[in-house]
Amino acid sequence: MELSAESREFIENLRVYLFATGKSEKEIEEIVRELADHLYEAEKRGKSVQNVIGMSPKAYMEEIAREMRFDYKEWTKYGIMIILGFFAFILMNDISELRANYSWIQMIGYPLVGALIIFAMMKLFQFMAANRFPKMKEMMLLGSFSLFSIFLFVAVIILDKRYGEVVIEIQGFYAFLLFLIAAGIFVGLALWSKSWVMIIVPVLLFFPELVMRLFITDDPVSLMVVNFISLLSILVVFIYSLKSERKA
Amino acid sequence: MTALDTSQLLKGILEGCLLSIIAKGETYGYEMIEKLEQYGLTMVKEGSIYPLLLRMRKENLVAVKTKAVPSGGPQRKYYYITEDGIAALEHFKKNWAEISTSVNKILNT
Repeated sequence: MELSAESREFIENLRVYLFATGKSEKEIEEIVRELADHLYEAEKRGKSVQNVIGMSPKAYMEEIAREMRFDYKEWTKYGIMIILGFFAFILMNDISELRANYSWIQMIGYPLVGALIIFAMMKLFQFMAANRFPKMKEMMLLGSFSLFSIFLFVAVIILDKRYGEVVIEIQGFYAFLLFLIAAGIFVGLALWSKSWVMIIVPVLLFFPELVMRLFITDDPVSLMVVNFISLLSILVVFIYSLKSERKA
Repeated sequence: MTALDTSQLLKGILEGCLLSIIAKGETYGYEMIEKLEQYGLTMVKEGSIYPLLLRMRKENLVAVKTKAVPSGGPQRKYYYITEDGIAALEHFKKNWAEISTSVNKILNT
C-alpha cells in the first residue's frame, strides 16, 4: 500500500495529535489505519487529502479527537513508568559516579514526592476524563501539573543541599544490589515498551563511566571525555533509530 | 423532535443514512461513501463519516470486526449494526417521515 507524501504526513500528524490528546494507543491505531485505507482508495480515484477531509487538517483532527475518550488508565501507566524510569536513572547515575550516599531528606523525600505525583496525576486525569474541557484548558492543567512536579523534586534537592546529612553510604554488596534494581527497572521498561531504548541509553550513559571509575581512572578530564562520547553515541543511536523507523 | 442547529441536523441525517446502509449488511468506510454516492448523496465530504462512525460505535449503535481484505491485503474494519442501532434507525425513520412530510407541505403550498 503506497500513499502519497501528503497523505502520509496527514496520517502521521493525526497519530501524534491523538496521542498528545491522551487517546488510547489501540484506538489511535484503529482510526489511523482506517483513514489510511480510505485515503489509499480515494487516491486511486484521483482525490487528495483535501478532497476527502473537506476542511483544514486541524479542524478535522479536532473533530476526530472529540469523538474519542481520554484514556487516563493508559496515561497513569505512562506516568508510573516515567517516575520509575526517573528513579532508575537517579540510582544508576549515583552508582556510576560511585557516590550512592543518601540523607533522610532524600530517602523520604523522593518516594514521598513520587507517590504524591502519581496520586495527583491519577486524580487530575480522572477529573479531566469526567469533564470535557477545551483543549487549551487541558494543556494548561497538564502544564501547571508538570511545573508542580518539577518544583517538588527541586524542593527536595534544595532541602537536601541545605540540611541533608548523609546517613547511608551504600557500598559494596548493597551498591551492587541497587545496581541490580535499577538495571531491573530498565529491563522491565524495555520489555513493556517493546523497545531497546531503555536498555541502550542507560548502558551507553552509565556503563563507560562506571568502568572508567572502577578500573581505570577517576581523572575528571578523562571522565568528561568519556561522558561526552557517551552522549554523542546516544545521539547517533537516536538518529539511527529514527531513520530506521521512517523506513519501516 | 427537539430543536437542532443546521450542522446537527445534517449530521443527524447523515447518521440515519449510515445506519440504514450498515443495516443492509456489514460494510467499511470507503464502501459506505460509494453507496451514498450511488443514491445521489454526493455532497457529503468523505472524511466526515469517520467522526460519526466513532460516535455511533461509542453509543453502541454499530460494532466492528476486522477482516482480511479479500485480495489478501491488510486487515480492514467492517461495521455491522447492533440491536440499539436498529432501534435508532427505526426512530430516525419515524422522525424523518414527519420532517419530510412537513417540509414537502411547506415547499408545495
